[in-house]
Amino acid sequence: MKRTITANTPLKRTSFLHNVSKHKCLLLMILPALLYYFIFSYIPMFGVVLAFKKYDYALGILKSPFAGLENFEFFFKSGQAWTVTRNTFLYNIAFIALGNIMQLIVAIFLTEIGSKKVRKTAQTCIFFPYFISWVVVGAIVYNFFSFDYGVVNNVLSSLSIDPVNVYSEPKYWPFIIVFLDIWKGLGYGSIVYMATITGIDTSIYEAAEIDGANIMQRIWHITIPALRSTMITLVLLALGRVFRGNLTMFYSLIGNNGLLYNYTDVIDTFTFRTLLFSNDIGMSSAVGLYQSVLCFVFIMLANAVVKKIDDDSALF
Amino acid sequence: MKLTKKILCFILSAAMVSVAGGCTKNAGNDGEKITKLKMILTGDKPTQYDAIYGKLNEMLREDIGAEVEIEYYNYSDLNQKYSLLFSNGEDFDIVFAANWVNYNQQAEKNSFMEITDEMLKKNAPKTYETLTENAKNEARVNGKMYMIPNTATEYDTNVALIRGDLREKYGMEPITTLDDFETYLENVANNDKEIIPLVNLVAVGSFWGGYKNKVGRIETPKGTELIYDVSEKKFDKKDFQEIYRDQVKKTREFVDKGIIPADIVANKTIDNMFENGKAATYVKNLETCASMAKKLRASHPEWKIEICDFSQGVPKVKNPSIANGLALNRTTKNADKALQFIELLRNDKRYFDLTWYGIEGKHWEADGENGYVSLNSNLAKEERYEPGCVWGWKNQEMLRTDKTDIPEKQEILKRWEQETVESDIYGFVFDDANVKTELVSIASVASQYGGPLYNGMVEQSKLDDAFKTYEEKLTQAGIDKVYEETVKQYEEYQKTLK
Repeated sequence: MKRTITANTPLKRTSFLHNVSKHKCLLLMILPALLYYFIFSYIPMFGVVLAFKKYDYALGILKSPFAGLENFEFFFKSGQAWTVTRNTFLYNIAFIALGNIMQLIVAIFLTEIGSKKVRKTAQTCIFFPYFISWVVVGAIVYNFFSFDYGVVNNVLSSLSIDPVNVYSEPKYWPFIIVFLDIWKGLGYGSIVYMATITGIDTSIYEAAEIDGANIMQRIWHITIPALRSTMITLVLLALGRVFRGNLTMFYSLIGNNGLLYNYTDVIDTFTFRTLLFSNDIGMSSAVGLYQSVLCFVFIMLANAVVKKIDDDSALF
Repeated sequence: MKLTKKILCFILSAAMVSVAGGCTKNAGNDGEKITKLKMILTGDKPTQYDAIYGKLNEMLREDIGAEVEIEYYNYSDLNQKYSLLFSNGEDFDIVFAANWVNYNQQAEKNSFMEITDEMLKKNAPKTYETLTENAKNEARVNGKMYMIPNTATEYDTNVALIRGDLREKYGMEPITTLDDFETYLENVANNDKEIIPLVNLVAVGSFWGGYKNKVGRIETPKGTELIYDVSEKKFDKKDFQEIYRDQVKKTREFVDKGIIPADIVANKTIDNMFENGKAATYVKNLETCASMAKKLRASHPEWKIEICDFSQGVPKVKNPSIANGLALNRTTKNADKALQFIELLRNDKRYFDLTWYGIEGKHWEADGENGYVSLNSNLAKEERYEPGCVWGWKNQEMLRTDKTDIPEKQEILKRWEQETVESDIYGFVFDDANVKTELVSIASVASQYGGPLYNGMVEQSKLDDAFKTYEEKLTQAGIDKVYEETVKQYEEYQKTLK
């Protein structure tokens, strides 16, 4: 029914202040988040100026002299810029794609498990690796693949197969690294999907069951479409960091093993290693800026693509 | 919550001030406040820290109205943490400084406070008098001195510790030559599968790469992949030399023979393996080896630890005075007190003996004017005093010789004294301003291509190709420019000496 405006109705006030007072409760609720991002993300942004400066501890950020693009030079002159950028990008794409698929599968399976006891136990087991630090994982991996004393070579030699020196063969590492990353993040990532699944109206499943849909059909036609927008959001958020490597992970697993660099070196480890001794703040800021710009461009592109296909699922 | 915290803070600080006030009264310095100094050192905190530095603080309050608190930074990842100290603006007064933790680079970034002659004359007159012009020169960066260097005779020549019990088991005579040493390593590899023959790769570089050819070489300036020949007085591109290729081939030969583990680069517990009985050799500089030998002869006499020096006839250069020292934080507000404190540490026998040797009568006994006997071995483990990083105030005149030290140490030192040559190299400070980008590229190439070669990870048949690639990459990274710059700067420096 349409309301008609009578002479008695006061003029609708749409001023900014009115809006603020009307939604003060909601605004108050997002205030902490806004403050957090303002303080920790927006204010530090002016530090990018360091990428163009020759930093001097005594002069500080503002007064240090400008150095032009000198700080970027080392990265592109090293001959490794392309390799490490490619590695960072491809590893992250693999982590995001395979990781999300695995998390989705695990979430569906876990929710379909009937017995609560079994479900909880399985979930705890899958979640557990999330709490192991990468440094410890690095040590475990070493004990697996150590040439002389590792588990793998012991098994191989007992089967009279030639031992493999994993630490001098780059080709194994993409698989090891992707596997470990997925293994470690599986439990944590699947929780988000499980939460969405719990939110799906159970009457839809009941109706489908009555109509004769089997379990695979129910998953395929109800659960997965319902998870679509969650998945897109998670993937888009992850894509925003696609040019940032997980330093702790790569460094704990690979360390200073130059033979593996072509397959395992990411922007972050490269920067860390080459600037470790010179500790040049300007140069490291330059690489940080380079990563940020790439990430920004990439997320804008990804979002635009999503928007074209499915307007509602895009981030903004 | 915040308010209670604030109140608590206030009460606590009030309490502290009154305690401090009480102390100054005892010291007879009425009205003067106790200055709290914070010092950063490297390594592990000594087990007896509270006892030793508690006592030191008593004396310090009495003498200069100050107290010191020391924070220890572990050796692993020292380089990262150390530079973070300054970039984070941490609050401290004194910090350990040394060329091996990038003293020059840190100084260039204005991390330290300049120490002028006037400051020294006023607060540390004895230090001022005893610092030689040469030592000061070495400590100067762009004409300014930022650290008080130590004064002691040290060498970074490496020696090896071996297990005498194993040697006897293999029926070998005492090891005197490198060939003997190699036989020993082979014997371990063939007979004792659970012990790794060699984990300190530096051995191959020092022994086979240097001492065997009777050349004294110093890797300097740091990070340039250049090497300085002491007798020839000239620089070379290290990784382009025949001697380097021989070293790498030797390393790989050892890997093939099972002397060096194939995945040594991934092993992170190398330094503890010898004392845990998992490695058959330990290769470090003389100081470190001697104290390790002393420790193990006490805890594992059955191992019959022996020390081997393969550097006979190799010209040696004393370590620069900036190999250890103390610097002031650029932002310290207690520079005067800090210098007074350093003066006491360096030149007052009470302070020096306490920090270096522990409590007299408990940890050590004097033996003549310049000697001492360590009593540590009589004490329970947690009662022993291992001084840790006290080298920053090492002073040859204050040092006592340990009568319980392994006797070989002094013998070797005596021999080395005679082989010592004069060199001006350590006064030379390389200014990397013109070659910054090149240095970073070289570091990257050295780590990616040089690392696997150094670690013996490249198969013998592929070595020649690997050398070629490495040389090409180094050339691309600009090693020639760095080399020319170094030579040019060194010539200019030598002109200033005349």
